[in-house]
Amino acid sequence: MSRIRKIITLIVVGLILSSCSKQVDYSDSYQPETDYPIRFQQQASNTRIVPSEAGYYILNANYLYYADKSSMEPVLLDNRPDNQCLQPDQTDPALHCSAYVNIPDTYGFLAYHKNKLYTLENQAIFKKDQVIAERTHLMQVAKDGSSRKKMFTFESLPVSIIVHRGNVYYALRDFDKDSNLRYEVRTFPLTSSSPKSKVIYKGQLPEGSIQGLTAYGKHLYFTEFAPNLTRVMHYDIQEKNLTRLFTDDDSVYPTLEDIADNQLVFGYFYGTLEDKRSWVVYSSNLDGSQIHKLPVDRTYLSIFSADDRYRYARPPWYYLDTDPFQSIPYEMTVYSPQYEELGKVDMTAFKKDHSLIMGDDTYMFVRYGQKGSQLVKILKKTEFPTRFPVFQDFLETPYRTEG
Amino acid sequence: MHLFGNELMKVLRKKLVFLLIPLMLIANGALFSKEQWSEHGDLIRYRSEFEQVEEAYARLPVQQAADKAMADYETQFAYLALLTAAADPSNPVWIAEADRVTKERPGLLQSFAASPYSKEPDLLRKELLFSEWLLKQYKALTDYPAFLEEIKQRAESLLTVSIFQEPSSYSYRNIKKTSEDFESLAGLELRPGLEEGIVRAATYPITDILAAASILLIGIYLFLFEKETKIIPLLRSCERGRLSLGIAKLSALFTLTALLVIAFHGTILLLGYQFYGFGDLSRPIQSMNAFQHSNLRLTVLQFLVLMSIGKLCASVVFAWIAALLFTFFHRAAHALLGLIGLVGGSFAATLLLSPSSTWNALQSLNVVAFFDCYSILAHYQNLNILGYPIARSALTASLTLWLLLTLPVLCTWKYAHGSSHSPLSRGVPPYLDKLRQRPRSYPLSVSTHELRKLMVTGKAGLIVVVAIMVAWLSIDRIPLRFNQDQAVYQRYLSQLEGMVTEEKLDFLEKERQVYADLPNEEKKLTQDQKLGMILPATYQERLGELQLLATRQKGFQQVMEQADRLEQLNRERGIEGYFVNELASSYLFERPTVQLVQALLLMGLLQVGISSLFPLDSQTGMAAILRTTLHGRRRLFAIKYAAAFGIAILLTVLVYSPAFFNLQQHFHRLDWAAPVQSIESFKTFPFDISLRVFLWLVAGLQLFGTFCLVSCSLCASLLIKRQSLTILLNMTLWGSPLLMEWMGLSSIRSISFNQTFLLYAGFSSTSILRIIGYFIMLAGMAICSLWLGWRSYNKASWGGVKIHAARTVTSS
Repeated sequence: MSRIRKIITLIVVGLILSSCSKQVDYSDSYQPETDYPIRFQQQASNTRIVPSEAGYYILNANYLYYADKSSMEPVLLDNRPDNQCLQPDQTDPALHCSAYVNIPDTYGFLAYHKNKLYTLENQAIFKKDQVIAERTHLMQVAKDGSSRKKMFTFESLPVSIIVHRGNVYYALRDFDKDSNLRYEVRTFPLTSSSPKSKVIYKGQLPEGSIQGLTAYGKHLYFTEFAPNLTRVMHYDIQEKNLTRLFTDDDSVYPTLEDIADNQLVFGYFYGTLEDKRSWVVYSSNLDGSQIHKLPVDRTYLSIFSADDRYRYARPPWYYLDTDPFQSIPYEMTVYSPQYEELGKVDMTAFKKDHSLIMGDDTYMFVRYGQKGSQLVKILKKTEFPTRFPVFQDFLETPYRTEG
Repeated sequence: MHLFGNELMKVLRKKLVFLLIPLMLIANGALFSKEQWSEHGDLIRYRSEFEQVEEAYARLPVQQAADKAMADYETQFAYLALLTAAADPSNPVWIAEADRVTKERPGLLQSFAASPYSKEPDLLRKELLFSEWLLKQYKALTDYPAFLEEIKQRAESLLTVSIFQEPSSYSYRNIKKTSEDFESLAGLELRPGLEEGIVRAATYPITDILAAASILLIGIYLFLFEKETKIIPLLRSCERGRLSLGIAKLSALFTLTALLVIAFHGTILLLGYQFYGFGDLSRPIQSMNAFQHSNLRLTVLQFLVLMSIGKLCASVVFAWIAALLFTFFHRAAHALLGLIGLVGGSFAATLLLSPSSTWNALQSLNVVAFFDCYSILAHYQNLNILGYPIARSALTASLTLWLLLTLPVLCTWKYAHGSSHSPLSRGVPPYLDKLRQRPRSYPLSVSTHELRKLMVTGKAGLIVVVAIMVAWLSIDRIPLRFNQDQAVYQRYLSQLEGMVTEEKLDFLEKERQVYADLPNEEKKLTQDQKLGMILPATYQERLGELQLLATRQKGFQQVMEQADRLEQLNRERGIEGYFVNELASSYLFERPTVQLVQALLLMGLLQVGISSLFPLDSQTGMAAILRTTLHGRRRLFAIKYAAAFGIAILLTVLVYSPAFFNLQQHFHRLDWAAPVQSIESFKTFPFDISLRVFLWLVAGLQLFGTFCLVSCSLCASLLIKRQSLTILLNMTLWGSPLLMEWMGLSSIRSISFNQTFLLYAGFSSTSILRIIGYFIMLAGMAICSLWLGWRSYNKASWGGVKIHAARTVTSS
């Protein structure tokens, strides 16, 4: 009898200890070690620039780079000074370059979590056969790029993916052999040795899709699109429940712009650029409650973003070559957290397709393609609000042409 | 010494050694020569003339020679542009090029008219090639100092970054080491010279395959022959025990391996020299572009000597590993399977492991990688060994040396102290014993007995189990998903599938118009919205529809291209094509690498599976008794062949069925009634047959080819009578061409069994007459081998017992 009691006691103690070791963080404060780097999110795309303790990792035109914050001199993430990474006639870059990541540029992804880098990579089964012979994997990369490890194999290329507090959240959009659409948000734990993903949300809309996965604290946000329809969705990671944010009216198109001071910053689009209601910016609690208008007057449609010290607004560049916005200069207005206008940054150099990454307190980044290369420029924010400098050259990588 | 001589003589007296090794030597030289002529015919043809030009350039200072080569090349290229544009005025690319050079170079036309090239275009083409080759040589010389400087700068720049600054990390050590290793190369006196002869001779993998096969043949004769002939217990009676015999065998293996390496690699080196020359042997290897990533201070001569030593060491290591396995395992088949596993694993590690994977050291340190002496010497590479960067060349050398010292000791020890009993004398395992103990009255037919013997005693059953496992693993369990473009394409195809009709073409034309109007529609919509003609909600709704349509454009484009091809097929050949799902058809028909892997798998399984069929009777001494079979030898012979064909059918089904299963599971169905020409790859196929008939035709031909292969393989086993040698010979003759094709030697397809297994690619690129000719050739081979096999089976020596003696005993 005493032996049984001992065994039971041991089991109970074991259970208690194991439950202690698996404490999950459900707080709403930002943890740089484990949280999705919200300041480095890129509109309608995966993160490609991520901060680490001492610098930034950058995925640029299929190559991984690292730059120290102190020097901002990017180097390829390859510890071989004799590497053949950027040779234009390189036929097998994966063999000769540890910094190379084989993934279509649109789907490039980078995350930094507990001293490890994570990226998506396509691996061909047989390189010579081009017929459906690639699988997409989540790869764990050593922080100095010296080794890689396959962590997970996806059924199809994720359209949006983030790493947040030890979990991977990703959205898939694919079709079965009868062309039936499936789009959903899934998750799996990063630490599991043989992870199994589970569905968080399964979309039901015809021609629907999910984009813009974002996480903050215990909240996961994403936007569900369908023809003439946009819904911003919120998933409570702790409670495991899903809600629709900002409006239930499908004729209005809500847009989650950013998160600042534990508040969601968002707007509504009412169908036309000229509709002044679309120019108004709102904020709410992290669960979408207590909506109120922000004290900022914009005279046109704006993209809002934030970092820890400032708020930013700029016109959507993709409308600036059409009436009635042609006369509007492409400038980014910088506001204080109380939405007092501090100054403007000239953005006319980026009137074509580009992505703005707000970054940390020191640097803001812009990524764009130009003449066969992908460029990253940086803007030093430490001189705000006394001076508003222009973006400086930082990194240029030629796109790889098939050798 | 006496034993050593005896062992050497034993091997050298074998007919197979005399037949197969010279054949492989000839194949080695012939294949190398063919490849060189097809890829560098111009260089070989003009070599002596080019050497004169090289000499003239060599008298100039390097930079001046480089500038002259560049100037000559540019001028000759400009002349070529003028010449080609004049000869082909319809070619816009050359017309534009001619315009460009004329504008950039005033007086070009006059200088061209005055040059001898205006009258001799062939001279211009030849000299342009000369300039191109010279330019490549001199560019390597002039770029090298900058390359070294770049490495230094990159190392300095990497070390300024925090993630590479941890002194105990592999990265930090590797950066420091690489920089130091290349620093010592500054100031090398580089000299021009062609690299082709050296690079081509050093990187020809087929020589390694053929040399390894020859070494294996020698190893089998030295170590397995006595086991298979069951004379191994007699070796206990050696005068000084088996130790001296083991040493003699290993010495003989070493000697013959060295001779084979000299013969095989020497041939290639000689041919390389003959075709291209090696240039100045005292120049540093870094003078050549292909060697600039090497940190070793070697001259060309030193490289060639080191490479030859490397090949010899790799071959000896391979030979001694084989010897160890042959000594360790009691059964020949087990030893060969072990060796196939080791070599296959090494090959897979070399091919499939990523350089950044945790196991990357295995990629460079294995039996197959040891043969790649060019990469070891010419490519600087450090491996991460417990956090320290160790040069691959040093590691390979150390490991090879260690293996060279330990393997013979292990092998000799095992040979001297291991059991000398043949497997049969060790008794039968209880599970087999149970199978053997059958009631005496059990009616056992010859065919059942043969099948049982093949499957159980000959272990073909095990091969079938392996094939079933491989088939099971080949079934794709992760559901295949499609992207937007593929889904749109498949959606259209499900609407259109079947014959191309006017209605379907009209429908497509209407759809094409819709997509073509998209930009105008969007413009009009924006205008209507601006003029206030439509409500914002209507505008958004309509805009959404147009945007949705735009996302479908790429998928539709693929449908249109297919429709255009089918219309062209109808116009040109009068064949009414069908819309066939191209995603499914390309999965089945357009994966030559997968088909090559399937062929290699089938070949390996089949050869091991049927290898025991005749040799088992011979080795167990049952052959003579089996001749007394009711209804005579012919029936027994036929039953054995039928059993082999049965195994071939079973293995073929198991190897190829998963692809069809995957097709059925993961793809939209294929329209099997469609004319085969509906598929782009087979549009030139001459017979008007459906896809279903085509598939059966290919399956039939493939099975026919496999039967021919079985016939040839069984003939070899009847001639050789030893299971291990049968496997080796058949894998060398019929299996190695598949490996050669994998390595890029596609010209071997039509003169090997490769065509049988790559028939889809064959029908898409080879004329039907050549394929018919190929199968007639196979049939001829099969008939000859059948006749030869039957003749051999009837020979008095078959089974080691004189038939007439047996007959005498029977009749008396």
